[in-house]
Amino acid sequence: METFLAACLLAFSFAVLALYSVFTIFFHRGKKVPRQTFEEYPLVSILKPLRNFDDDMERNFESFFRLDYPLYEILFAVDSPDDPCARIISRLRLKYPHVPVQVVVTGHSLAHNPKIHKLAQLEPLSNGRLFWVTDSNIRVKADTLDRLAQTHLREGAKIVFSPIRGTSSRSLGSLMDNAGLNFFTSGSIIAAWALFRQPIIVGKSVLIERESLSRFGGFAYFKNYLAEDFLLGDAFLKSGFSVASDYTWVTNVNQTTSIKGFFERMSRWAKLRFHLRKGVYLFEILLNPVVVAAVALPWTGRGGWILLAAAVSLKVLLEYANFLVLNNEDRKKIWAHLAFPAAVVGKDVLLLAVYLTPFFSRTVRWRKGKIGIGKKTLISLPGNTDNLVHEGA
Amino acid sequence: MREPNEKAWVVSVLMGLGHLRAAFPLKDIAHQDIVLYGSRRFTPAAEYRRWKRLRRIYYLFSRAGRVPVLGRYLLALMLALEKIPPLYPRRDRSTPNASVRYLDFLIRKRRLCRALLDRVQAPELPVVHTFYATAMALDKMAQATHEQYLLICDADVNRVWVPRDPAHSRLKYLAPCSQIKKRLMIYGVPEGQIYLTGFPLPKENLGNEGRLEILKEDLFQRLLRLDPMRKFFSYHQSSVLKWLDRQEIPAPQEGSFHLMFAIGGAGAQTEMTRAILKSLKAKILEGQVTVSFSCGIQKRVFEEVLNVINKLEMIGHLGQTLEVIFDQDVYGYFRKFNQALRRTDVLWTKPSELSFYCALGIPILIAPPIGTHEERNRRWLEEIHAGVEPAGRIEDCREWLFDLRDNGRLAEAAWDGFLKARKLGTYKIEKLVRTGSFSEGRGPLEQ
Repeated sequence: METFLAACLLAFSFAVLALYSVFTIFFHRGKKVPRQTFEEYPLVSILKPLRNFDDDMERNFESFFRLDYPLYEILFAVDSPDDPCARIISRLRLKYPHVPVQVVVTGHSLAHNPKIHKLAQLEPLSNGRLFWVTDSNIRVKADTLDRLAQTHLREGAKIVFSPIRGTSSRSLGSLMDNAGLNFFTSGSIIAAWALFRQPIIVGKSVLIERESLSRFGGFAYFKNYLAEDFLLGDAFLKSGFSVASDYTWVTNVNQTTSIKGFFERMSRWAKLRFHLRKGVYLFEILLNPVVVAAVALPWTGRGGWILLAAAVSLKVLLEYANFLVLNNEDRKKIWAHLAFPAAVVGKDVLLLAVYLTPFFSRTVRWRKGKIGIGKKTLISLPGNTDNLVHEGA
Repeated sequence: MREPNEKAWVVSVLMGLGHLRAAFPLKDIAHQDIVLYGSRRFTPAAEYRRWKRLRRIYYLFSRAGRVPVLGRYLLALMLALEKIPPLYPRRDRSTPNASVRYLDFLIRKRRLCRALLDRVQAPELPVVHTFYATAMALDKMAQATHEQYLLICDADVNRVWVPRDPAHSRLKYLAPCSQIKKRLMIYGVPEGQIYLTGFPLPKENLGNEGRLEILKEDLFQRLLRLDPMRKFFSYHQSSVLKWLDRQEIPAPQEGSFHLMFAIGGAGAQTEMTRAILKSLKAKILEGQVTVSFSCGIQKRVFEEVLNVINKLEMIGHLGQTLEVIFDQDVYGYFRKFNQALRRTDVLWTKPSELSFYCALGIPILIAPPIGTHEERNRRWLEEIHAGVEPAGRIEDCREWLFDLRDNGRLAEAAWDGFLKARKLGTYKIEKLVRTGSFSEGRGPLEQ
């Protein structure tokens, strides 16, 4: 009986994961939409909040200077004038003088969402009809912005979001991280949108219509919450603004992440998801078949070992298929192929620990700072007590 | 006469917006900042959790009408807890009810508001409360020297606003209307401890205490907009000229007027937004009326209102003939609200503490009340003719709202509110707390 029950749970788990795999592979080049020509292209302000150094940052930034889009500007927000990122930007400015660039010193805030703190300061200095918010470790193709803008114009979408392709692994931690992004994160993003029109917005790349955002009072509307990306989509949807995605991928360059770094980031995301939708979060563990099979072992006896072996093999296979199609840089590396099964199993075991962290901690590590969160990821730092935001009641 | 105090402790709670809205105009005399007890900033962790639970219960009750199945039972329970005995025949009602006994138990045994005493210990200043629980607790615990005032936020109140043994309490009451004075006296409060001050209204909507120049100017312009046919003026012209220091009434002009709908009940009235907007859509597009929706501080409510506007394809009119008043910061919200009130001609609200804003010369269009206190506020509004009942279904407001305006009824309600409700609450409370001296005043400009 117990073995049967475990088998049922695993069947459910793999049914969902197989969908993830199919969707990510099927849409690995984005949705095929005939390109339309519009009379006028909206000016886009690319907003890049920066903090510290990321892997291969210069090439990431450079990809935004080489966009095949007629009208755009780039605004960088840095903590201080001597931020090392500023030197990279200066070099690129000289190399691409035709691209309008502003570097704004915004400082860093832990009392409010640090990213929103920066975006809110860039907002009034920008000229665009559209904002494209991207993280510093994001690299894009020359046609990415054009595709996103096309989706905005074609569908009247006020937000256009993207799945994320993790690549360029040089360590086991980064291989795990990239595999997680390509399979689970992007699988969830695409499946939720394709099947249920439910946006899962990850702030690594979001195109937002300025006018619609202004209805909320701008980025500052989200300043008290840590999961600004999720809440952005949620607020737009609840307020009747349309949201869309044609699965235009952006690349997350992740070369040197350690296993500890991977664990910390996953824990942070887990805590955010936990505080956003507890009910959904509780069921999330079912989508980790390796852990489900392992946890069932004491009740399933010998049959359980067979289930575990099958679960591990099938999970590795699904993720490997995703790896072969999506991770076009890492698939050229032999070590990545060899380490991949271990990375998948190690990741899934580690994710059990990650899964449990929100039950014991409400504190999130964020770029060398610590932030306490409450309902809907409301920031609850002692320094934030002056804020009389409706306290989750 | 005692030594004048420049400042006082102003203590409020975030239990809906009513109590804090009453405290906000007193910010000028508040020492440091308004003490928002029960919030994270002013309350120790253990007690904060208790207040959070209380707040949840409060919001659950406020939304009882929306709760499926159990809603009606919740509502019945709320009404039973809030029950106010009739004022007449007038007799002694000082016997404490269950709510009073329970509150007393919480204060004595559970140390409710204990940390508040530590906070207001030094400097030793008078304390003005806008919520009964903090006042009862401090009255019980505070040292003999502390002077305590409790501001009543409704036109009638439950026995829980008065301590178990009112004859031995030093608590002084600030009453918004004369009916409250009678009510407190039958609850056993000595008459000498009741000051008929009026409800504190924002100074930015009043102007100088002696001149009330902002109120007068806003009211005059409002009356002109609310009486395009000059029906109201045909009866009240001389009275308006006299009290508003005017020489003449300009000739009638075609123009729009401004309706504000205040969504109350912790967002329980969001459904009304859709009906109002749908009904008034054509009039808004024609520029005959501009509409504000006051959403308070809850994002949920704000987003629901935006959704309604989007669904009716009116988002392009936002900021022009449509306005949404919202801020996540409660004081930011009050500032925006008070600013919007200056251009508001009709305030459509459930009869909450906003009923007292009729004193600004704004007619109150009465939305369905939630709970006994609001029922009594409605009665008070109707008694002084400052409140107007909707003349039909909400869905038909495009018809009756304009009829009410054209026949001068809204202008009349605005004028009655100005003449009969007390306007100077803020100034009178400030003076009383600072100097100990008080005069009720006579006539519309002195009350």
